[in-house]
Amino acid sequence: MLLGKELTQGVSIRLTGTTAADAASFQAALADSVLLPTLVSRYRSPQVPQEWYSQHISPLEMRFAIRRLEDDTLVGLCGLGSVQWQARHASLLLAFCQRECWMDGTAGEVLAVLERYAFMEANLNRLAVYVPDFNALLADALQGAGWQAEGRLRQAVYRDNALGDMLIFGRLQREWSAGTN
Amino acid sequence: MKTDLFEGERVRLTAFTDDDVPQFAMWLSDLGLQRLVNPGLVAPLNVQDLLDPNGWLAADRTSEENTLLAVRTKTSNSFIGITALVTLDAIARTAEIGINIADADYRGQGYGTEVMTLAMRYGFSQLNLNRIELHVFSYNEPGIRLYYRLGFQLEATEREALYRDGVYYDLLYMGILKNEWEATHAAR
Repeated sequence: MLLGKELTQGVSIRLTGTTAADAASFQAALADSVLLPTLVSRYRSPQVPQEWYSQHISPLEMRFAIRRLEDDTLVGLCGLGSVQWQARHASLLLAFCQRECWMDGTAGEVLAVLERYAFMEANLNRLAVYVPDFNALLADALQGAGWQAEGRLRQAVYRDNALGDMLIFGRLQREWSAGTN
Repeated sequence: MKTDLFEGERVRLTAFTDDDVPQFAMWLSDLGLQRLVNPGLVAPLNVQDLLDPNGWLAADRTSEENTLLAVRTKTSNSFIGITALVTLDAIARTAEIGINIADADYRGQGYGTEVMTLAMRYGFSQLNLNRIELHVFSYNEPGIRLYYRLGFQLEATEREALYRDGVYYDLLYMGILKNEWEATHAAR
């Protein structure tokens, strides 16, 4: 039997489309010292990029809002990007605008929903996440979810007068399948 | 002050021009060669695709993040390949390097080493990069050996990131830092 709403729904959250109204939530998160390292990758700017709110559902780019089932509150953004359909891989994106989501199991739940979507709907063979080493919350969430650390690009990022490393995590479809069976 | 930035023993690095495009297209029509440099879908190309002002080659050539150079022999000024420093990150001072000695008559004779050394010297001493990285496919064993000889370290393995002939291969990330390059370069 085909999955229905379960395809993009977990126990406490669901994935939906993004709207321009979501921008305010993320703008406020930029002022949160715990969330800030998890929200910027390359260059920090005072404003959240507009493309975060563009409705992207195409074979190459997919963006979703993360909302709580109980009251539809926006808690984050996630998606699959840079899809290479020939080799069947994509990069996974994850960011929250509420810091408790990194501590209360929501991160693991979103990863599980997104992986299921990637492997069962998008027919991907591999997912990757590129994590600046100052984003310890995302690195911990990935390790906790069983992603494999595939390497460390030395001194590849710069933040606050210091060079840091870019970590690469990977997940293969057969690893996900073995973990869910 | 140096005036021979782009001069090696047997080759020089020059601008890549529109006159080079037909030869470049002919090389890329060899899908075996494409499979050494293109991680995605390989397909036949034609000169018009490469000359398209809205195409990928035009974008690469004009992007401020990229430096694309032609490799020419000093004796006959023959165009034998290309090298490039791309995706320049001016804040982190990093770039990705690539090389393609596309003319088969010049492979296996040390030209790759000479070209990479010139390009790396340009990156570290002129562009003031702190880090140069490259991406090499796990089936490109000659390339991997060359990069190790040049001092690159294997930093990451993206498993099953490439697909060829029904088989998945890995994408390897190799990197070298400026202080590492200077240490080995000064010793030579």
